[in-house]
Amino acid sequence: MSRQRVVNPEEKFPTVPGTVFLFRSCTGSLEYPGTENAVKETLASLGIQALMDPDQTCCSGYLLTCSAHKPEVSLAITARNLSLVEKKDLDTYTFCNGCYGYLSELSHIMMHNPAYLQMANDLIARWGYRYEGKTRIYHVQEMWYRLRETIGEKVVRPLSGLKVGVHYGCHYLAKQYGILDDGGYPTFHEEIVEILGATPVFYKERQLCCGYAVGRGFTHREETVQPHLFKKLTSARDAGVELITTVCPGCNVALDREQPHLGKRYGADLKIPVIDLSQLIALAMGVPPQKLGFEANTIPLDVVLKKLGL
Amino acid sequence: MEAALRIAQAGFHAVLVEKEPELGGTLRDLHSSFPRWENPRELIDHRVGLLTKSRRVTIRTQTAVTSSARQKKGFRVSLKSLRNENEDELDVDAVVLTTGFELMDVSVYGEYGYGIYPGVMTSLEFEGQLKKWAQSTREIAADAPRGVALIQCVGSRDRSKGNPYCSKICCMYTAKQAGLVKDLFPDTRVYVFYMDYRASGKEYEEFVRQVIEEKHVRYIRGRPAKVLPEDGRLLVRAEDTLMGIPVEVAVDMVILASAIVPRPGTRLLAGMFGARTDEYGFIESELHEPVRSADRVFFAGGCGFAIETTGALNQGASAAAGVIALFNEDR
Repeated sequence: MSRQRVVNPEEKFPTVPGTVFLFRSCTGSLEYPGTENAVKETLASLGIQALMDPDQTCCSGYLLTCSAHKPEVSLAITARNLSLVEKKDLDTYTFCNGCYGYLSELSHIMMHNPAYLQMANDLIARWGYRYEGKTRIYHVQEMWYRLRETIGEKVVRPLSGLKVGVHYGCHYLAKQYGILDDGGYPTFHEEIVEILGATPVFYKERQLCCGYAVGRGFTHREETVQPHLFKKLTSARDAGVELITTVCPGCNVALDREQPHLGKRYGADLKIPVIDLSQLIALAMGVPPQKLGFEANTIPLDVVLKKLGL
Repeated sequence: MEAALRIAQAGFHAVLVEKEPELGGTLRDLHSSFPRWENPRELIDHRVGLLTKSRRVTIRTQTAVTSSARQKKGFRVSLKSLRNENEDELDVDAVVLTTGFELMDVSVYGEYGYGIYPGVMTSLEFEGQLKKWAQSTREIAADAPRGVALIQCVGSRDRSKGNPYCSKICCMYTAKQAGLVKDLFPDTRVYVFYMDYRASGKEYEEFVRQVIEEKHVRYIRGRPAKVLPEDGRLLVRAEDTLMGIPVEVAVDMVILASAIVPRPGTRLLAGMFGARTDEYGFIESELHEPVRSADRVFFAGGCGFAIETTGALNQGASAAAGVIALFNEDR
C-alpha cells in the first residue's frame, strides 16, 4: 500500500544505458537460442551493447522451485553470478521471467538479511568472488517498452493482419512493486504488438499461468499439466490467435513443446506457434528469420512466416 | 445530525455545516439496512424533521469550512457557501467532525476488471442500482441479471494492494444486498464470495443465516482470483476452500465490497482544528477519550473508522455528551 506499485518506464530508466550485461538463461539460451539472438539483435538496433560472461551459470531458480537443493545454495549462486556483473560495473538484464524473479528476490533477501549476505560471500570468496548488491536487475521487456517509440520508428516489416495472443507469464508481474503495469490486468505487451503493426487478441485465458514451474519442466506430471495447457491454448485458438508471444523461455517451452502431446491426448489440432516477444520485435525490425532460430520451435513458424511474406 | 440534535436538546446551539445540498451523508444513498431491512430514508426524515423544528439548530447546507483559528475557548471558523461563493465567519466553543467515509478506488484490482468490464461495480454503486430496480414499475426489470456475484474484502485485509484493516460493515451489507437481489428477482443466482463472514451484533448472525437459508444466496468461502469475460457474461474464478475445489460461476454483475476509507478532505479539516489523523486519514482519538481528538474537538461516525448506522448514532450522542459536559464546565 505504501510502496509504489506501477512505475512508468521513464521513471525506471531515466537514461538509456549504452552497455548492459545480458544475463543468459539456461532454458532460453539452450532450448531457444533464437531468443537470445533476437534479444542481442534488438538491443544492437537500439544502440545498446550487450556484454556477457562465460563464467555465468544458470540462476538456479527453477531448481530451487523444485526443491532440488536448499535455498542457501541459490543465494550463493545468485551472489556469484551477480558479482560477475558487478566486476563489469553494469546493470543486469535478463530475458527470462524466471531469472528476473529469482535474481530479484534472492538479491533482495541478501540485501535485507546481512547474515545471508555474509554466508553467501563467505562461500564464494573461496574462489575469489564478492557480491555487494550494487547491480540492479531488469528484464529486457522493460527496455522494449521504454523504447517502444524507437522500435516503432525502426519497424521495416509491419506485421499487418497477424493476430497475436500475448502471454505475460507470472514471475515478472508477480513482483507487484516497481513494475511497468498492473499484474491484475496488464496491457503493455499488447501496446508493443500494436506498434509492430500486428493485432493483439485478448483471449479469455490470456493471463493464465503456463504451469511450467508447477511441474511441466522438471517433474512433468502429465495429468496436471496437460488439461491446464489445453484450457489455455484452446482459449487462444478459439479467439483466433495465430501466434503466441512470451517473455520467458520456460513459458515458451510449456506452451510450445506440449502441443503435440495435447493433440495425442485430446485429439485436438493445436498448431499455434509460440515465440519470444523479442523475436517478434526483431522480425518486424527486419532481422532475417534465419537469424532467429525458429528451427528450435516444436510448432513450426511456416504458416506465420508465409503470411508475413517471408 | 445526532450530535447536533442532542446538543440542542441539552439547551445549547448547534450549527450543522454540510457541503452537500441535503443532510444525511452516505445514508441517503442506501436502499435498505441491516439487520431489520428498514428504510434509511425514514431515519433521515425523522431526524431532519426534529432538527428543522429545533430553534437551537442552524442548518447550513452547501457550505464548506475553509479555515479555522483557535481562540481562547473555541474557534473562529471561516465558512464558504458552495451555492453563491459568499464567505462568513462563525465563533464556536467546540467542534464535532463528522465527515463520513468513501470507498477505496478498486481499479488497482485489475483482476476484477473494475473500470474495464461494464458489469463490475462497487457496493455503493450497486446500492443505487437496487434503488432503481425497486422503484421500477415493471413486474421484472428489463435489465434483471441472471446471476450476481458479490465479492467481499476488496481492498480490506490486504497488505499488498489495499488496506490491512477489516472494513467491518461489508459482511453485513453484502448479505443485505444479496438478499435484496433475491427478493427482487427470485430466479437470479446470487453468490457471495467471502473469507469469513463477520456478523457480530444484535440479530446480525440471524440476519446472515436468513439470507443464506431462506433467501437461498450461495455463500462460497474463497477470495476470487479473477473475473473473465466470456460470451457477454462475466466468469468469476475462485476456490471453494471448504470443499477444496476450484469453482467458476457465470454471472452478469460482479459487486465489489470495497474497502472503507476516509475522505481526503477529512485530513485537511482535522488539521484546521488541531485534530490528529492516522496513516490512513481516519481521525485519531485521545487517550481514554474515544470521541475526542483534541481540546474542544470531537468526532463521530465513519471519519473515525468504518462503522454501521447504529454505531454512528451512538458515537454522535457520545460526542454530544462530551460537548455538553464541556459547556457545563465552562459556565
